[in-house]
Amino acid sequence: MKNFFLLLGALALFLSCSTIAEKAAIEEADLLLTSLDNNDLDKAISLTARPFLFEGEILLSQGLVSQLWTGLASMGLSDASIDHVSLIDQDSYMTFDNSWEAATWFNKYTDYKTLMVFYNWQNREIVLLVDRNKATQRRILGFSEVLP
Amino acid sequence: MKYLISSIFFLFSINLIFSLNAEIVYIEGTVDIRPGSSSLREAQIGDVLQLGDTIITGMDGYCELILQPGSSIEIDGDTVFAYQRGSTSVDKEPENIFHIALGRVLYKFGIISSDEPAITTPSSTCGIRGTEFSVVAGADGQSLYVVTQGEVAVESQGQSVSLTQQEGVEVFRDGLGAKFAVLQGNIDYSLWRDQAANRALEDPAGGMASVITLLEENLKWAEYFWNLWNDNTAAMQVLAQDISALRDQGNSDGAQELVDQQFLPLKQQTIAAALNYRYYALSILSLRRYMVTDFYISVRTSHWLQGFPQDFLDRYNEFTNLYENRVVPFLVEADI
Repeated sequence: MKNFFLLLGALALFLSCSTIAEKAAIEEADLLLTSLDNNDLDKAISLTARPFLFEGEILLSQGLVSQLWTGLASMGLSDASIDHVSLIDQDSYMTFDNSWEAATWFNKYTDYKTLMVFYNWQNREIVLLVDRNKATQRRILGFSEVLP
Repeated sequence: MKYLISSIFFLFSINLIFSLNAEIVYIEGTVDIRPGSSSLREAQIGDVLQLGDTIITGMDGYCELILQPGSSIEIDGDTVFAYQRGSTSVDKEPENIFHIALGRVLYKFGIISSDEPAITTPSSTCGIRGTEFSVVAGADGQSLYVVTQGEVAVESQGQSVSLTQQEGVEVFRDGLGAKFAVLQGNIDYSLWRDQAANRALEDPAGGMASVITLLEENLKWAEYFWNLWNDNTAAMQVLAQDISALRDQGNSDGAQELVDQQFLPLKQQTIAAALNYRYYALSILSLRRYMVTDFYISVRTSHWLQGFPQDFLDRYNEFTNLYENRVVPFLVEADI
């Protein structure tokens, strides 16, 4: 009986940690989308890790990151509603692009704790990759429209 | 990637042999350095440029390197500058190369020697005969050369032009433009880069077609040097067996003659082939990373709701198919 309660406690702790991590990831992703809608590109750039994965392309330079966020600013992305959050798996790269570059990027720049935050926006699904490492300042790792 | 594993030994040794002594002496704003096989990191004053390194400046960035007393390189904001080694044409031995994938770099060479690096952009090559000149690579793949002092020879698509003091030339997608006179301080490089970015946005499908042409040209040489490396490696193995057999027979003079007259020259040629197929493969990677990504972002974000224009999409798919099927075998995880 004692073991049962210990197990239950551990499970509750695991679930709460998972929930806290997911909540933090959503907050980070929301912050990026709000920054874009507010045309606060400096903030958006400051949240963005490099190399950054945008669909099938890898953005190494700050100039390209700036170009991406400039292009998506003021498009109403903060109206997007959360669909779900999930941990990445070995096939997650295919959400971005079914290519060697995307697979290699995932292998090199994500780990088993990286979260994918899925949103619904204008009848489309978009996804942001978020690093759960709190010590990292730039935690938005990638962005894509989820292709059918 | 399978191709590279077998020649990785050569590349490590090459890195040690051909390093230039270029040191970062001044930094402003965001300046990152991507060592050939490592992740992006913040550049520091005192960093010495190594073969394979790429310096990437942010929008607010600026970086100055000293090569030797009297020689310097100034890298403007939003610029991608790489230090590579390879042959800029098939009939040349591998040489040091400063490649500008995007942005503007000002070169000042105090003393000109035969060891000066070649300067390249995605669409052109320049031999240094002069002392002070700017090179700009636009987002649309076009380039601009302006000589302040001395002389520079610019080549593109089989054409060449020699520029002297206060002269400039633009390199278009289809080759060199006419050289023009430059009034001191009268070139607005930022405006030229903005115009290049606008041209990229106006005709992204045409831009992608040009990038595919550049890919095909580089791929032709990557495959040529890969085949040469492969053939030479096999020939070296046969020679090594012959040399060993001669030594076993007690014919050490004959073995040494074979080493000096055949094995060592072949080894040199094999090292050059390994450098070159890697150089051309990485040139294609650079095309993708800075030009194709630029086109993709421009078109994607400006057509987010309606989807890609078909002409652009066709060419983008053509590029990525060629890349995935014929370039990826030359790459390794460290390149990503």
